[in-house]
Amino acid sequence: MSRPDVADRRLLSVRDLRLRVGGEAHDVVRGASLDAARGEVVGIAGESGSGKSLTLRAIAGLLPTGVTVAGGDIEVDRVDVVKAGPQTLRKLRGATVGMVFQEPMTALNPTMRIGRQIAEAALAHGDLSRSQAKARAIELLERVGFPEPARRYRQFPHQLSGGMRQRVVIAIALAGNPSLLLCDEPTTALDATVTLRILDLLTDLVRDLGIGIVFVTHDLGVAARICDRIAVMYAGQVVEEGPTAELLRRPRHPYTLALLRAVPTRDRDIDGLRAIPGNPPQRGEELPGCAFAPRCEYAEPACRSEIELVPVDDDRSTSCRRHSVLAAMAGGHHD
Amino acid sequence: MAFARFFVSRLLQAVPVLLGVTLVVFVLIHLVPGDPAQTALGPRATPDAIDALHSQWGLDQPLHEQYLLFMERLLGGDLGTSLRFGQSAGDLIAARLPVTLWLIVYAAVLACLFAVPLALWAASRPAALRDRVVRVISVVGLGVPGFWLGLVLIEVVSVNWLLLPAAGVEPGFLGHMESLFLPSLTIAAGMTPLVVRSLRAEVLRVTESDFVTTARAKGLTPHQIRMRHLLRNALAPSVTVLTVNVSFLIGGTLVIERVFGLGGLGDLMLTGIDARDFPLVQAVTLVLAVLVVFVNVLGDLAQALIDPRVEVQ
Repeated sequence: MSRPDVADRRLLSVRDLRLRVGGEAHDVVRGASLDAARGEVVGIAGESGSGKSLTLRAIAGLLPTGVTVAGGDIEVDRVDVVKAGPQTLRKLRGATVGMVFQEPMTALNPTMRIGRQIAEAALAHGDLSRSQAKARAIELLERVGFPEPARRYRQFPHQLSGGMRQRVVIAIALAGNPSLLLCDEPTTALDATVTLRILDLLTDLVRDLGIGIVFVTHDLGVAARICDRIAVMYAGQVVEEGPTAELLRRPRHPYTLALLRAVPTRDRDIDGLRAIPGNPPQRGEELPGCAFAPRCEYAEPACRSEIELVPVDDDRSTSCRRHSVLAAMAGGHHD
Repeated sequence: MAFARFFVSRLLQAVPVLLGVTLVVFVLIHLVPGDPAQTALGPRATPDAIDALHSQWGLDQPLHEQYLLFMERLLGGDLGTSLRFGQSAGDLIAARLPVTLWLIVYAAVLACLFAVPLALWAASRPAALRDRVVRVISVVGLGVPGFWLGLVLIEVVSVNWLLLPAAGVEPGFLGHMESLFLPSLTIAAGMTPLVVRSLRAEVLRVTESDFVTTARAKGLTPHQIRMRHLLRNALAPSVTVLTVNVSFLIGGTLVIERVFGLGGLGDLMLTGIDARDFPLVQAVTLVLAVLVVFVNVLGDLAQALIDPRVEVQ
């Protein structure tokens, strides 16, 4: 977990984050920890309801109404997001943290020209004049891959395809020169070829602008393509974290392994896919110990007691107490 | 221009509606039980007078001939001659139309001026005290009859405070602004609650939209989000509510016109009905119907101005 080489490039640090929905007595995110640095893409992978999107929203201080931070710390570029007031958060959003959303069809204001939506984001922070903001918007449109950006400036969202809209959303997120881009399943609503182009665009941005990206996805294939590191979330907790290649080749948590086996690949037909037995825990279910234990083929009675994310190898960590069994077994496991 | 094309196409779509209106207005005279000429002239009319009126109105012709004649006159700008006034119905209407139009536009503007801030204010804290206050005001506004409110306003503002004229219309723009304020306010009081309700609900709905989250993620201030992103997107359904209400208002201003002695179109209509003045009633009905169609075209235009997607559909 400790990576001294990136300490000075550190952008984001989430520690033991707990998120609570309304007045319910339990938390939907139960002690999630995460780090991200400039120039790297950190993925949060997990199934629906694992709390990955809420964790991302919390980083920008944009939790939906009714969801509150019940514990833990979030630090973005030395700003304490949990304790920050509305003013500080507003300055953080756009200027330090940009957000890319899942649904490009609804993330843009249907009644405003796309150029103005970008220019408005540029105006919100820098001290640009109106014409400078417009020039910046046109420049951003070009940056995210619009041919004829000056003409496209005047278009409305409904005149664009989903992929192009997502590019506009990315341009908006970039307008305030943020150092951290939060992407909430940005390719889920797009088809496969468009997905690849958007992923390439994001990779280019990391390389050219030196920004950091936190990338939430349920798709390990997408995560494998873009992420330098992946944190796998299950039932509101990070169960495993590590460099993408290592983590996918030799998972150190049975849940990661199960997810991998559920991914269709070229040489694995539909019958070769393995669904994960059982269901994720219900909201409010008591979860002493490992939340995955009831569905886990490696579980032992001790798994039902206290667990924590512990370092394994150099820069990986897992919450599975039986990770050594997995490591031994996965020696022969190649995917 | 896409917008000009949209405008023209909406106007063309209104043509069949207007044709339908002329048919209904034409048939109007035959819907009255008994002989229309007899009804118009009263029980003591001589058969000669009735015959004369028959041929004047063309009632001795076959029905389709009558309609063609009616349309021929209409397209020539002849709305018929009033029996009661012995004057061209067109001239009578032209003299009274401005006051009614003033009243409607004035009331609609006032209603918007009240409704937009009230709705935004209420929606900014749903279920809070301010929201409930606005709701109570709305219910009261809806429940108070216009003629009563008009009389109370005359009594308080004009008679007791001597602030505004109690009746009649003063000449000139400022004169109109002043003398039509109370009647317009009376009408607006009934219209505002409906607009407030729809706008408040719509603002709350749009607040939950993804693009509002995008706007927040940009780091915009709440005020910027409200003005640039919320209001415009929440406005479209309220424009529909306003359009429908203004449509009802056309021809529905007669009570207020009577209370304030304004002598507008509604007043003329009432006079025509009282006097069994068929040509006059037909003419006023036709003009009111055209106005309603026109207001609806304007409403569609407003929708297209607010939401660029409307043009495409």
